[in-house]
Order: sequence, then structure tokens, then C-alpha cells
Amino acid sequence: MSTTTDPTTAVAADAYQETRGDALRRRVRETWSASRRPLIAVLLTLVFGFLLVVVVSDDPVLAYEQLFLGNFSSPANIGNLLMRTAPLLLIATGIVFSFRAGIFNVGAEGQLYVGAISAAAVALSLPTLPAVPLIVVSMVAGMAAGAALAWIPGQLKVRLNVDEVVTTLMLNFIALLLTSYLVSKPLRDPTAYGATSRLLPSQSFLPQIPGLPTANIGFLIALVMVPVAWLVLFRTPWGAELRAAGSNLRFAEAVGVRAKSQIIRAMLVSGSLAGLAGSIYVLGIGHRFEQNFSPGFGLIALTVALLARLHPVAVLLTSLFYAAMLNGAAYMQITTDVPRSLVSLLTGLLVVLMTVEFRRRHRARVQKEAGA
Amino acid sequence: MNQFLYAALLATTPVLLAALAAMFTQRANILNVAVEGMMLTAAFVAIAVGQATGSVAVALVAALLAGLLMALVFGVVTLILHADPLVAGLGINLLAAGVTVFLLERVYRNPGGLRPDSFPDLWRVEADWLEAIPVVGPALNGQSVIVYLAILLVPVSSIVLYRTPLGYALRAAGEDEAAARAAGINVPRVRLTAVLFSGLLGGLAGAQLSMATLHFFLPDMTSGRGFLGLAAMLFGGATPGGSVAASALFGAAGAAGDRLQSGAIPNQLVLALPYIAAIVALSLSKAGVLRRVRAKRKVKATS
Amino acid sequence: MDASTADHPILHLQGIRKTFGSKVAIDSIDLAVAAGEVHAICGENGAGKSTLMNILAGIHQPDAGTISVRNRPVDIAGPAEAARLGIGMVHQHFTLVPSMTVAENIFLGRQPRRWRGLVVDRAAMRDAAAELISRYGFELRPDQRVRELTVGQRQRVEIIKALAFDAEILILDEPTAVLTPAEVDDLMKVIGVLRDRGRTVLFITHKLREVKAVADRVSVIRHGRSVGTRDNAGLSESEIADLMVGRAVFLAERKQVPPRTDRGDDHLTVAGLTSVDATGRAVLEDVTFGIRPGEVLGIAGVEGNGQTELAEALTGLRSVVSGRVALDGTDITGWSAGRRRGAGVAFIPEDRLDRGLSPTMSVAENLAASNYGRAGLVRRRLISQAALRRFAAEQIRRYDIRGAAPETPVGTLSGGNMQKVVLARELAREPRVLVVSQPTRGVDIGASEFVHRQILAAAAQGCAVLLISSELSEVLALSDRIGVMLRGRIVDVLDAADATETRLGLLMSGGRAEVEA
Repeated sequence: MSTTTDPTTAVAADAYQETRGDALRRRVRETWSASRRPLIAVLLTLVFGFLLVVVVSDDPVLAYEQLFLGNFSSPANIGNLLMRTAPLLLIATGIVFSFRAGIFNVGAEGQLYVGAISAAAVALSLPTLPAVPLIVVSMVAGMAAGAALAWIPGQLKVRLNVDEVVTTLMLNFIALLLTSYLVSKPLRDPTAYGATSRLLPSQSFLPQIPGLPTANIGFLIALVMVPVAWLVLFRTPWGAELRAAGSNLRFAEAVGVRAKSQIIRAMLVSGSLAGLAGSIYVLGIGHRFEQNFSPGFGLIALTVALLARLHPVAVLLTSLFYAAMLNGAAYMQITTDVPRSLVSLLTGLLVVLMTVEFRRRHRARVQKEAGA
Repeated sequence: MNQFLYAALLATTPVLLAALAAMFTQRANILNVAVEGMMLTAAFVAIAVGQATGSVAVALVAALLAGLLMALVFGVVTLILHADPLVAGLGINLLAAGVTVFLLERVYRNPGGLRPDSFPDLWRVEADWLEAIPVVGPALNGQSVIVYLAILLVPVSSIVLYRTPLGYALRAAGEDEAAARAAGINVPRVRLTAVLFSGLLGGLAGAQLSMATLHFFLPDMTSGRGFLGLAAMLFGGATPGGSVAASALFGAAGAAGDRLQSGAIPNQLVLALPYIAAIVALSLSKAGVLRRVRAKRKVKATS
Repeated sequence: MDASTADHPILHLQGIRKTFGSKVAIDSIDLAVAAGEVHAICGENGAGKSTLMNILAGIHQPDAGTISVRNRPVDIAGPAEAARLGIGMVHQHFTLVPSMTVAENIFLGRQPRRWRGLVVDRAAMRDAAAELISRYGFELRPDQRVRELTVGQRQRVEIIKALAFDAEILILDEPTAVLTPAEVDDLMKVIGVLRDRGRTVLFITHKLREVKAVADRVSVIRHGRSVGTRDNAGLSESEIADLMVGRAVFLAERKQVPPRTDRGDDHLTVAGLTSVDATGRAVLEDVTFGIRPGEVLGIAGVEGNGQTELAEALTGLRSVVSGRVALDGTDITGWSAGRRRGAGVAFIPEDRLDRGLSPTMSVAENLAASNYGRAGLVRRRLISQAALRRFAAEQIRRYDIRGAAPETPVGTLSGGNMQKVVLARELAREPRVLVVSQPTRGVDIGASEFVHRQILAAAAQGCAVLLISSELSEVLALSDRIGVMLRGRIVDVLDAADATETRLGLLMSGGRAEVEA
């Protein structure tokens, strides 16, 4: 390869040797510029929430204290916080994969449900299996079911260009109704009141985390996904190709990325992580499948992922934040006269505020490119 | 049979109104998932205001205004602040669910729902001569005015969409924004109008849900009927006629599902049919387009 | 055109200037259009024609200069104001709603109404449309849906739409770019009818045959400046071509390349390549050529004559109906884009931001793109950040990509530096075949020279280069042989020594090559 040997450009090469201090400063700067706007949205929401609490409550400070610090008042509460975080973290990480590949999977709720019921069904049908294989098989079944449900809209998108937003939304309802049928007929516990499955074999229960009576290894599995997702997305050729397909499909095709199969794969990852979340819930917390076990994890995880600006590490922080709000609401309600539904209200508000920011940046970027 | 038709029409009405609501925005190229939230807010406001004032007229107007308000928030956030309509729409739904339950807990001290001891009945159309109409007569007799209004709104929507300058502008804005702008159409304003229309229709759907027969409000009482309307609209090809046909189909399926509780076909699978139908309809229409293009290509290539 | 009408033009532009940021789109344009004439405006791509038309249509505002309509200075603040002044515009890209009928499209946004203006009077709308159609003798039915019409028919709907505003001055922007030859002939007749009806037509084109066929007068624009206005009568096609192109603007030297007789068999062989678009129209027809190692085959032609599709078909991004592509004798026709790249096919696409780069990703990621393994950047299945950074820094240095660190988002660079990123990625792989399209579009002079040197250097290393460009001077300066594309075909291939701008210009516009020796 012949190139110019212009002395001025040769000197410039040293400029790209970044020192450790420079790299650190650059990372801090980048992180700040990426997190500034979500932080503003969160802050605005919390301020609005506080004003609301001031109006309705005699002791607003105590209410807010309970909302966030209540989670840390006992090991049991901490354990509950972690177990509330786990499904959000897993689902949101999956959503990060799909959105990064440019496919808008809003069907996590359905994938969560089919994952949960599949894990339950497998655990119930193999009651003689020892603990470790039973747990593994159940989890794999949950992941496979979630992935299968996500595969459908992926294929429809890639092959027929059917809008994945509509199909995943519709599949949520289909999955919910399907699991509702399964739990009310074949898997139903005849002795229980309401639609729940029979109790799972006890060796399928996930082991506790020592020192945290209410937490189990399900959280650790979710936690492991954070560095794994980060590595896969930002440190493997596959992740780079996936992000290329998501950021500019035509570019990705031109540089030889098989963009369509990347989209399918991203959907499979996304669905299987939601399915894993369902499995962990069933094996670790519910010990049976209950209809309506999810307080809208799928939708909340979508906001968790968007608030984290689709970054796996930030997803850990935002899912902890959301889990703290969800659980803290209960502590707040017990201690003060502020109803827990305050949090649902704030969640809606935060989503609306957040997307405003989200899109504005996007537009500004597009305009800049157009002018370049 | 008559009872079934009555129940089917009752089940169809909110879905139809939601479908028409989603249709207007869809035609302006906005996927309106916020219908659910508009309905829920309106359902709550209808009961709360009806209880406070004892007036069915005031309650109905308040419900419409509530739907309109949610639509306004949705419209401002998406059209003026450029939020993503999907995420903002889901946010509106969360907000509606949160606000209603918050008010239930805080104002009415009952998170389980709002059940006024007495509630003014929504006007019903009851007449013996209605019974004389073959087939549909018995189903119509005794239904609320909103049911009649919903039926009337199908041709009205059709006229608005296909016969008025606004309808032309709306369809142009949805189909080809550049063409609409070139024709001097104010695209954001037209879109906002469509969103506000959907707010009124969603408000009407919510009012029917809580005021017509139940006279109380429960958290999440819409239970996906807004999305069902969305599915009906998509299945019906985003036209008034298609929407009413699909809504009637879904309404009948829902009424049938209620009756089949103990039957051979599981109720839930019947209820899932609308959503499956929407996916299949969308896929088929896309596949049809592709096939036509391919066929054409072959013809040209061989000629 | 006699002096009296020229002194009282219906449209008069003086000293119009328009810049976009640092880029000068129009430097200084003067133009006088007489009432009732067909006035052609000619110029190469990028000469500023479209900007000029957008100013007249009210889409852009000029930075300097005055516009007079019927001797009154005006300020065309927006499309509505342009319409009020009687200026109608038919854009290159149609603004029609496919699901609506011809009549509905014509009257979109201004339908006749009844019932106190609440409802559109569809009967009146249809009648008015039918009246307009028959007045100009078009073959259209008011009730036809636009999506069922041919491109030529759609264009006529656009023309009527413009005329329904009572436009006296009708601007047609590259109206023949999307038409078949038969449709072009029909359009010429339509323009004749419009002139007979007393309309003034401004006809923007770079196709000389059409200018000769229909214009009364011709104005030529070059590099954002008016070069002159001539009467069409007595003007030859080659004279217009000379005016359009002017003298060569840059002269890249390629003395270091050995003559092609020294080289072996073709690296790249293309035989009978045919491809169609979504509507079944042929976009490539029976394209055949071969490129030897170290040879640069230039493809000249007016844009939209199949060049984009040719590049896509060669790089595996477009399926073909028939024909064969071979690399060193191996048939690669059915290979995916990735497999072709692996075999040594490199591609520099015409639009950097469309296919060339992912603007939000970093310079390093754009440089490596899908090539991590081959570039030795993967250690234990993970991308080595240190290696990636070194790799990127090395490319940034070698290709003199300015204002870039490895982690800079590529979208923040200037056009020239973005192009260098694409160039670096594609050439660093030492390809056997390079397909390069519009390599210097939107690139400043300095970077252009650099890009040209790099392309020639790749050829000198034995790479077979296909250079697609609508800049004649570029094709002439770099190519060993030059093929001319017209309507999806390669109409002729000339040796660089025999090719002149005028001769190529004639071939490009469908004229005959033997006009000039």
C-alpha cells in the first residue's frame, strides 16, 4: 500500500497515543454528556413527585426517605430489592440488544410470561430430576420459549417487512392469554384459590444468597449478564456488527454484515433474556406460575433500557433505581399516608419526559449529518 | 340468541370506538397505543364526576374532556416535543393507570375501585318498535346512547376521512408528508387534529365502559380494550368499514368467550384470536404486496 | 428572441448567491426569462441548478441578489408565495399521494367545496380536473389512482397540479431523468403545448438532445455562475457541452501507470449483466466489460442511468436477473456481499452517509467494520482495544484523516475526512477489485487530490478499478478506458487517449459519437 510520506502527517501520529489520564478524562466527559439528559428527566420527575407528596402528605420527607432508604433498612429488604432488580435487569439487557440492532422489541412482557410458564411446566413435569439439572433444564426451557416468541416478529420483520412494534405488542396479549389458559387448565393447582400452577418440586428452588435471606442466586445470574452483555456488544466482532446493523442497515450490508440474520439473532437474545427473567421469577420467588405475577416488568424494563440509553452498565443502575422505587413505594405506603401508586404515576411521567429528551438529541444528530 | 347479540353489541362498542380513535391517527401515520390510557382516564373521570354532580350529562362531557386532555398531552409530547409516539404512548398509558389508582387511593381511600352508592343511569334507547327490526332490533333495544352514537360514527368517520378537506389533508399527511407539505397542508396541525379526534373517541369508549352498565370504576378496567381496538383497526385495514367489521367480529368473539367459559373451546384462546388476526392480516397484506411486485418483475423480465 | 422581450423579462434574476455553511452552492447567477419562451438551463451536476430552482420555488432564500417577477422585485418567502406569483414547480421527486386519484391529487389542499365548505365537492373536482386535462391534451383520467400510473403519467399530473395554481411560469427540474425515451418524446410535445398556451417554461437539464429539441434559449451555469445565454437556433450540441464543462478544473497526473498491454488477463469480468427495479423496469441491461489488473475503467454518464445499480450488482448488494460476474475466472454472481469482500472486492459507495459509514459509530469502528478478524484485531474472541486503537491511529495517519481520534464519532468529521475513512477501510485490505463511485463528491479540492492519488496507487499495486463518476474531468484524468452508461447500458467504451469531454458528453446525452473527431 503506497501512501504519502508527508512529514507533517508523520509527526501527527504521536498525537493519537493517549495517556491513561487522557483516556480517563475522555471517558468521564463522554459518560457525563450521555447521562446528563436522563438525569435531568429523573430529577424533574422526582421533584414533581415530591411536590405531589407535599400536597397529599403530612410528612413528605419521611415519605421520600422511605421510598428510597426503606430498601436498605434490613437485609430482607435489600434481598427484596435485588430480586426486584433481577427481572428488570435481564429484560432491559435483552431490550438493549434488540434496540441496538435496530429492531424495537416491545414484546418483552409476553416473552417473560411464556418463559416463566415454560420453566414452570418443565420443572413440574420432571419432578424426579436432581436440583442442578432440573434448574438448568427449566431455565433453558424458559429461554427457549422467550426466544421462540421473539423469533416470530423478527422473521416477519426481516422477510415481509411487517412492523415489529405492532406484532410484538399483539404477541404480548396472545402470550398472556395463552399462559392464562395453561394455568387455568393443564397446570392448575386444584387446591389453590385463583389461577396458579401447582407448586414446583422443592429441589428446583433457587439457592439463597448467604446473608440475604430473601435473595437467591437468580440475582447473581442477572448480575453476570451485565459484563457479559457489555463485552458482547462492545468488545466482540459480533456485537460490532450488530450495532452496525442497528445504526445504519445499508452501511452494514455494504461492509458485508449479514444484517438480517443479525436482527434475528438480536431478537433471539432479547427474547431468551426475558424468558430467563421469567424462569428466575418462577424458580426463585414464586415457586409456581401465577397469572399476573408481573407488575408490568416488560414495560418498565423498556423504560429502564431507554433511560440507560441502551448501555448495559447503565441498565444496572436504572434497574436498581426502578426496583428501589417499586419496592420503596410499599414501605412508603406502610409508614406514611402516601399511596404506593405514586410510583406508577411517576413512572408514566418519567417515560414521557425521557422520550422528549431522547428524540430531540436524535433529531439534532440527523440534522448535523444532513448538513455535513 | 337475542341476548347474545345484545352482549356482542355491548362488547363491540368500546372496541369499535377505540378502533376509530386509532384509525384517525393511523391515517396520519401515528401508531396510537395511547388509546388505552385515554379510555382509562375517561372511564374514571366519568364515574368520579357522575358521583360528585349526580348529572349524567356533566359526567359524559367530563369523560370526553378527560380523553381530550390525555390526547393533548400525547399530541404535544409527540408532535411538538418530538417524542417517539410509541414510547410516549406507552408512557401515557402508565400515567393514566398511575393517576387513576393514585386518586382512588388518595381521594377515595379505596385502591380496589370506585363504586358510588347511586349513579345516574346513562340515557338508554328503549322502544318496543325497535324489537320489530329483524335480527338487530332486539340487540339495539335498551342499549345506551353511546352505542347508537358509535354506530352513527362509522359513516360519519367515513365522510370525515374521505369527503372533507380535513380528511384529504389527514390522509395525505399520513401517506406522503412531502406531498402534503407541497400542497400547502400544515402537517403537524393536521396530525394534532387527528390525535384530538382520537382523544374524543377514546373518551367516549371509556365513558361507555364505566357508565353504560357497570356504574363503577376499577383499576385497569379497560384491560386491553384499547389495544384490541388497535388490533381491530389494523385488521380492518385502517378503514371505517374494516374497523367496524373487525370490531364486531372481536366483540362477538368476546361475548362468545364469556359464554364458552365451560365449553370445549378455551375462553382465553377465543380472546386471543383478535390479536392473532391482526398479525396475520398485516403479514398477508405485506406478503401480497411482495408477491405482486415479484409477479410484475417476472412479466417484465420475460417480455 | 428579440430585444424588446428580453428587456422586459417575466422573470429576472440578478447576482443571486447562496451558501450552505462554508459551501458555496451558487456564486453569482444572472438570468432573464422572457414571457412565453421555453428556456433551458444547463449545467453539470453540482453546478447549482437545483439550488437555483429551490430559490425560485421559495424553498431556499438567497443570501444576495434580487429576483424580479414581471418587473417587480419580489421576496419569495415560501412555496405559497411562489404560487401566488404564478411560479409552479415540478420537482424531480414527485409530490403525489399514490392512493388518491388524479383529480384528488391535483386539488389536494384546495378542493372545491360545498355544504358551507364542510365537504369536498367531488363532482366539481372531477369536472375541473377533466377540463384541465383536456385543455392540455393529456391522456389521463381524473378517476385513475396515481399508484396505477406510469412515471410519465405521474409527471403529467404534477404538471397539471402546477398549472392548476394558474402558474404562468412553470419550472421543470430534470424532468426527463426518470422517463423512458418514449416518455421523453411525449414530454417534449407537452412542453410544446404549454408554449402554445402562452406559458413560460423553465427547463432544467443536462441532456443536450432535449435542449436542442425544445428550447428557445439556453442558459448555462457552471460552478454556481452564469456562463451565458444563447439562442438555441444555430447552437450546436458540442458548443453547449463546451460551455457546460468549461475547461478542466483539476488535472490529476497518472504518469506512473504502465500501459495496459503489459498486463495479464482480466481480474474482473462482467458478462450480460441485467437487473430490474421493484417495478420490473430494467435498470441494468446486458452490461459487459472486463478490467485487467492495474487498470482503471471509468464509467461516465448522467446520474440515474444505472451506475448505482451497476456498483450494487458488482458488490453483491443487488440481485441480477441474468448475466455473470467473475473474479479471476471464479463465478461470484451468487455470492453475498460479505463473501465478495472476503475474496478481495472493495467498494467506495457514492453516498458516504448512506452506505459508506455509520455516522454515530467511532472512526475506529468504521475503519474496522466487519473486518476485525482479518485486520488482526481479535484476541481470544474479543476485540483488543489497544490493537483497534493502534490500527485506527495508523490509518488516520496514513490517510491523513484530520480532526479525528480513533473514538471520534465519524459523523462529526468533514466530508473529505469522512471519505478518507471510507477510503482507508477499503484500501487497507489491499483489494483485488475496487468499485468506487463518485469518490470526490462533496469533498474539498485538497482531499480530492488525495483521494485520486490513492485510487491510482491502488491500481499501481495491481488492483482492478471501476471508477464511476458524473464528473467528466475526474473520469478523464484517472481512467485507462472510459465506458459511457445510458439507460442501464454501456453504450460505448473509449480508450482514454481517444476520449474528450465533448465526445463523452455527446455519448452521455444520447448524441452520436462521430459528431466530433
